Amino acid sequence: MDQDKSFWAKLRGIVWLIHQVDAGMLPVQFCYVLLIGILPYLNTGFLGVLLIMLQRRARPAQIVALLLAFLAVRLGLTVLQRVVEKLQADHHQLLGQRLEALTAEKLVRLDYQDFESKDLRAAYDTARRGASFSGDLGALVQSGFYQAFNMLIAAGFAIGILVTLLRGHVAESKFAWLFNSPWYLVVILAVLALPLLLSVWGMRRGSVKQREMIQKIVAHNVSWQYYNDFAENFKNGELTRLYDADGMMSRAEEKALDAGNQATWHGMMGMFGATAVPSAVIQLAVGGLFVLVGLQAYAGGLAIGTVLIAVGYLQQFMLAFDGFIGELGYAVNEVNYLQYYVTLLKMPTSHTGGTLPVEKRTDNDFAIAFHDVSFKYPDSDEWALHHINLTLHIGERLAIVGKNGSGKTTLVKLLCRLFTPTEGEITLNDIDIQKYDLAEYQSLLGVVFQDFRLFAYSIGENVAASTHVDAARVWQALDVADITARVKAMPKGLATPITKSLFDDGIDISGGEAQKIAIARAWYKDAPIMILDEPTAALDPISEYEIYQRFDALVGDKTAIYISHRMSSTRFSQRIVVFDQGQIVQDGDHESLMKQAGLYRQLFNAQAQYYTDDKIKEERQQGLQSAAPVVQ
Amino acid sequence: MAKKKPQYSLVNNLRWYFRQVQRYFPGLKWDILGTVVVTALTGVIGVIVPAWLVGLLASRAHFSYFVEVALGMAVALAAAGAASTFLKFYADAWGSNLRAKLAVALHQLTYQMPYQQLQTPHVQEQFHQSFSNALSWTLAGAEAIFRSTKGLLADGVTLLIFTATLSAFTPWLFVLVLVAAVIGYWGLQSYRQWYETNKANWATQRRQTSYLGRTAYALENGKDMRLYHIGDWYQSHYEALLQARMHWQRADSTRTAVAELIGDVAGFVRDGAAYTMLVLAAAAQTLSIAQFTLLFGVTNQFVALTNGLLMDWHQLQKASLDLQELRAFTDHQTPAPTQPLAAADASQLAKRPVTIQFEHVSYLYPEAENPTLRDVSFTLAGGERLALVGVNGAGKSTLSKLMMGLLDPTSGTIRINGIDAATLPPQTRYALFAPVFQESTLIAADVAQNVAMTAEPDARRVQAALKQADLTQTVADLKQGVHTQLTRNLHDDGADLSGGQAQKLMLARALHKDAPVLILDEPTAALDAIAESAVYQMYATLTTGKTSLFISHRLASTRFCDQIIFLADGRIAEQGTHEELLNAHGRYAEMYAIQSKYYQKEVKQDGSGQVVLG
Repeated sequence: MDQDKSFWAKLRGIVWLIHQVDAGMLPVQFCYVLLIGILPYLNTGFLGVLLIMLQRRARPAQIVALLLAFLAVRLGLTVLQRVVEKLQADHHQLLGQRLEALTAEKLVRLDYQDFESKDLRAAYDTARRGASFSGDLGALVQSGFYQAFNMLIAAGFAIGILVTLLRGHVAESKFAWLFNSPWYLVVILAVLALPLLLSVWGMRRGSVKQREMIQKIVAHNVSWQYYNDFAENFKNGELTRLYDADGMMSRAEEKALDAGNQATWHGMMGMFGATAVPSAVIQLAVGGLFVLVGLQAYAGGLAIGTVLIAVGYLQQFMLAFDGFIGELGYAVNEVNYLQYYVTLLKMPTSHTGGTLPVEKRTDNDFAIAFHDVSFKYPDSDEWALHHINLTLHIGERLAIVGKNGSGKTTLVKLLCRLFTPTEGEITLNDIDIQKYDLAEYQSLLGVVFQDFRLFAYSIGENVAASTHVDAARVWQALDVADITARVKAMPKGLATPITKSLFDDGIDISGGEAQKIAIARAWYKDAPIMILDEPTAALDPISEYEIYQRFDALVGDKTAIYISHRMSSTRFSQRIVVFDQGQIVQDGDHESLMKQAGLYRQLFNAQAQYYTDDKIKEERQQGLQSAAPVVQ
Repeated sequence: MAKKKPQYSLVNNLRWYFRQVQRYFPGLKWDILGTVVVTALTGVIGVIVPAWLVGLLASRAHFSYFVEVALGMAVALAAAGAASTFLKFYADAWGSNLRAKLAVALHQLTYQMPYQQLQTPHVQEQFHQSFSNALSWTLAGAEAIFRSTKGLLADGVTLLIFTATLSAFTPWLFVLVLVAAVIGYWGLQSYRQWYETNKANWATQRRQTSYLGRTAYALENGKDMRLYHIGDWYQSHYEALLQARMHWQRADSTRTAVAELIGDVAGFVRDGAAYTMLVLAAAAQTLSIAQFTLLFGVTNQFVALTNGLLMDWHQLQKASLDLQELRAFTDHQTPAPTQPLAAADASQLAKRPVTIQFEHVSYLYPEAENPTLRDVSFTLAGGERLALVGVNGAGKSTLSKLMMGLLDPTSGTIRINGIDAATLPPQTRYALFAPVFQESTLIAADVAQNVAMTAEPDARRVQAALKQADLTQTVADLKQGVHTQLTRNLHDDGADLSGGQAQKLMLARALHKDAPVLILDEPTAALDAIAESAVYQMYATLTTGKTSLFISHRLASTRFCDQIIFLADGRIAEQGTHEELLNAHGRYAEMYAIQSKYYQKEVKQDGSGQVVLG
């Protein structure tokens, strides 16, 4: 996020943001401030004019006319206020809702690298923390812009009354020269300026103190939030009970809380001077203004009513200014961290800008090749993949095995264009995949990730990944994944929501069932290339076996990549590629690889040892086993 | 719909709240008193002094006197303002703090109450409501009650003073003020009833938009979102949600506007009557302009004070409503009882190794339809290794929780060393078991604290446990060794352990506890083949001398065990040693055959190239 944009540029960005999200917000807000803010001026104005009329002994009819006019305006103002207040409330809600919607939609469509980037996430964390501490976009509009508009209105009235003061003509007297000279204005401005300057001083100092306080508090808040979340996750209750750890956690929570509160209190006391002094000085200035303006009244150049109006309006201006300045610190802060939204909404959804459409083939004749591909993750110095050369033949079923962290999943991420290779290129039918239109390219891939995710909507929507559900096809997909019976037994069938996160009539499913639904989702997509990353890790042996049996139905004549660390799954692959530390170290089928004294054999034997007769006999002879007898 | 009377009345809640104030931060009482005094004083000076000055101007009193009054007012108001700021800071800081202390107390209660209760859906719901309504933010019940009481008293006293002042001039203005307030209140009340009845409607949308927002941002969702073009799906949902939300918003804001207008019009009549009386009196010169200015200023304050008062009263009532769940939860959920064991039982329990018996145990989860376990009976003899296998959802984890005492049987008895486990105090029961759960839970604390589960661990004991779990080298390689912070939740330089390392740490934790019964629940699910095999090698040595329960669906592990129980549909389907079960050719044998098939030297294939069970 650019730190070097000027404040005005950032503010323009915010105004653009508000306009994008809800064009009517700021105009309505201005009207609202106007209608709310005008009441004190109206009251004071009426009082002043009435006093003038009384002083001049006006006729009762005139006085009554003034009263009626005042009452009529008051009533009209009241009604208008409520109408605009309603509009303002509606817009405020719309602003918040649409901002959330636009942000979420953007996040979902962003290039994966941008989505994952630390910078973006750090900016989001800042925005979120800021929003909970000072306020979000809506708060900026309701406080920051409110105060700004308010001050503009107050300034208008103040200038108007200053003009009146200057026009007051004083009859001959001791101080006539004072009032009739420009020095009078200067003195009044000086009395006005003092609290205004102090307000600015107060804001600056308060801002510094606030930043210090926030820094101290944030760490404590994060701490407290952690313990809070820990306690609310009831599953942790198993841990705290069985390991007698509730005392430790409660004490830590309380400690974090107390520390945070001490920091807050000290911070606030630090800011006390900056807040209280300007307000106090405003009161003193009002006193001073009464004296100055009252003097002019004493000297005969001003009606009593005008004294009240003048002091009243100037007081309003000082208060509005102080209010604005007080809010300015928060507002500047908000403008800064809300840049996250400006930047996010202005981001393009794809950087590689590929535009080629993918040729539609009914024969699923898609060949993928890796040409000397090396890859480093964006925030890392280590190479995750080194010089990968791999050609996937059409319709081939490829198994990829290797230890945890050897680069298997990274390969898949590159293939899915979630990341771009640092060196080398990946081609589809001999064309660099980066050149294809991203959406079209990704529609070629049906993927079940190791850490796949389902969403708390209905099973139908999850399988179809859309609100448009082709029920017949969904049932077919569920059948391939061997979960038809379970879904048929559910109260709402396909419309049953998964988990109770969103809907109370949702049901909880086991890890294995979720995996089957993820498999169904991949099948539903009907993509020519299937990628399955540990698709049976959470399944029990019987379910796993049944998936393997259906593998043919799942994959058909498509090109398939199958990643697993359960060696049992490699038996039915035509080709196995072994990864180790980011490189391909072996490539062949099961028989040929078992003949080599390499990683594959090592991995296979490590798992097989529990199931093979030879090994058991051997261990028995060495007496390493406990009493368990041998399988005959 | 008939309005339910809340269980805890406003007065009851106020009494409860001020007991908490007295307990944690008694200073808050004085803050309220101070605020009332300062607010009233500021209000009074604010209307008296301008009137006074107007009087002085009109009577052409000595200018120096005028100056004294003006500056005196200024100083008084400046001091009052500073006092007000201080009181507000104090209230914000400590009022918020009090709310947080109540949250800590709530958490403590959930740590100490019977675990079974926490599994009950309606108790969980009550907890979440308690937190959400009473404790979650600045205007939640437990802080709003303080703010609104303070505001109510401050505005109320000031309004009373002003009304009295104006009534000195026109006695029955007092009536007008009261009537306008009542009408305003009635207008708001009818709105509030509509709000209470309908707010659930947009709570649903809130829940969904919140969910969509969170999931869009969550890193782990990113891949699937892109590969399955979730963007369009999101857009459809958001559009629908937005429309629904705005519909309710407009309904809400219109009703609010109408409700408030009713109060406004009543207020206008009040003010109009007052202004008219004052103006006519001033014109007829029965009021001096000083008196007029005073009374006019007072009248101006009515709108703000009355609205403020109504708002405070409304918020106070809302705060009281928002406290209902918290009060109910804290009153009904109590810490588990802890009567100590009789001496005879205690010495029986101390016998090692520990024997556990299940006698016709059944279990039904709270608010569930079907029992998870049915009539389960077995004996886990002292020092024996028992394997518990079965398909997902068969009830394995439930059985282990029953054994540990996290859950109580719906029917049947569990005996530990012959003693009925239901008579054991929870902590005594828990002390017997050292579980390694399926999911690794690392706490944001250092390695030693994670192993020992205490803030002050015994270094040697920790090292011994790490050694047994084969973690000595891994920990030594960390930047601060055993004092390295784990996870990045609280420390940016915290270490993240891999799945395998975390699982070993869980094992170290269990070993550190050195309890007589070790329970291992799928401890190798996240490990690759080589690491997994290393754990199995360890298992044999680690369980010597202890009673242990091993839960898994990977049958490779069960061969180390002395006895195997195969659970299906909540019942024990098969039971015996590995050989006995294989010879029985039942479901265990079938499952074993399936898993081991792929590791045999030869794989039978039919013509289609598929692997077939031979």
